[in-house]
Amino acid sequence: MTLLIVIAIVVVLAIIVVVLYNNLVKLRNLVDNAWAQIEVQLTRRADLIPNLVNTVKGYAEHERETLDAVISARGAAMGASTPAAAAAAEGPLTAALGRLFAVAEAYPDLKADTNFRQLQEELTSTENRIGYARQHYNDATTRFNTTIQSFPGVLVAKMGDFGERDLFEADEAARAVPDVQF
Amino acid sequence: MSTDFRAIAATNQRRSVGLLAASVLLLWGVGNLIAWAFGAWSGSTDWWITPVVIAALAVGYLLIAWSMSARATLRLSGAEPASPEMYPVLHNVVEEMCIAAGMNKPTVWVIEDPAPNAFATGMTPDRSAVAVTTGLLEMLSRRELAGVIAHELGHIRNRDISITTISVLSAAAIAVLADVAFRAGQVVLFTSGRSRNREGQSGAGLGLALMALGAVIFIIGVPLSLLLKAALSRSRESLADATAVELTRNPASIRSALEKLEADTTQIRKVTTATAHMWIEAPSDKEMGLTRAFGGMLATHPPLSERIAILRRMEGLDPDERGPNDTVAVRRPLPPPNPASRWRRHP
Repeated sequence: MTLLIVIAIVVVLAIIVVVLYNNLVKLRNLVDNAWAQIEVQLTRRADLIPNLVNTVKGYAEHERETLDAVISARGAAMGASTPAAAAAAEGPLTAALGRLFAVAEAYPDLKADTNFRQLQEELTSTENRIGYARQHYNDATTRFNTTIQSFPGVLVAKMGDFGERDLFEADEAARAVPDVQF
Repeated sequence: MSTDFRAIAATNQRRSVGLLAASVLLLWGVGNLIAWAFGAWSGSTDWWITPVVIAALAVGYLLIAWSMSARATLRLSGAEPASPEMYPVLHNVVEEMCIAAGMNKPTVWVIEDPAPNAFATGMTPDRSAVAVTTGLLEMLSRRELAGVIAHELGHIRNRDISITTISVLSAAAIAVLADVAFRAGQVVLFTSGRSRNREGQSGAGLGLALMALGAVIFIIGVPLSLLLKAALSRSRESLADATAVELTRNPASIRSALEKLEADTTQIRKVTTATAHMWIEAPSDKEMGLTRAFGGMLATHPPLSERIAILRRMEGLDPDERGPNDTVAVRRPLPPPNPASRWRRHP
């Protein structure tokens, strides 16, 4: 009789461990998914920029300086090989795009162009999405870290690759407000 | 009063669990009462068998009815699928909020109606829909629309439609059981009245008891279950407001939207009586009347002033004042149709 009880307890414990382990796996994968989502939105922005530059060029040919700034900033962002370099490229790109839209205010024909307005909306949306993707990544990371740090997750976490993840933090350079010159 | 959206969310989650459990327990209790009236405990079986059977029946009924419950026929509310070409900003806002929430994008619908409102529907997050009226698009800015969409996505993510459906089904079942008891009592009374022996007399007693039980369940149980359902709905609405803040990380967006809704008095034209919709604001006059009756205990939404006050405190603003609000709307209202025009106006 006692043997049956022991077996029952062992089975119940095993089931609990399995459930906890699977939950950790799910949370970790959600963190990876959230990180990938940031990459997707960054790529989306990079893909939208050439179209925007060409549309603006059609109306505002002599705003060469502003257009070139956008192109080179995009190049730097796409060519970044480390997360640190990618974060460093963020600030200049956001600033250059901001300058471009500010400059476009002076060209009513450009502002009326449907293509330009669509691109403006898409880029606004993409900037929002990048922000929300980072926010979601931080939320997912916080949830994961909390689970592996609290009891009983802390015990099960030792059974696999469940290391603590870093939160996405704004780089010092990106935190500096870009200086927009009119 | 907490100004932290996480604390508000946690409070409402706990409250919802209690209210939902109370709804289902009430149904189970009523089932046991009726079983007792039919003499379930007068036999020689173990006392715990009847409650367990009633529990199994209640759970079984809820599961089956839940899975069969009216696929919220969106078209009944006059909703049309929103095409990305015609509503690019709406789709972008929904997608942005889905990224923030980490959920898949629900189908997006639009209702041609000047009254500003929005709803979410769908039993599981993977098969859900969100709808807005054209009136809402013409009233709110992009930022405020994001707050409303975040609120509706919160309903979907928190499975609110599913949860409130369970309490609605419990309330419906209790009403049916009250009716069953009453009618069964009438039948027993009628058939026993025909016989003149002692069996007939005890039958008459049983009949009257059943009718009395039916009346009691109807007078007490039904209002109680409706109160529970309304309280649960209000709790989920508060939770959705907290989720809106969580997703946008900006209380001003939903707060400003609610202030504009509060100031607007247009009633939505095509009101659906389906319960499987979670509106941002009570859609019908009947609902608005319910808001004030019984001290607001039957209202499905907390009063707008209360919701706005909570959000204003989060922003550090005076809860009794209003503003600031955004001025540029997502969509400019279309000019009214010219009756003198020969050409049919296309939407």
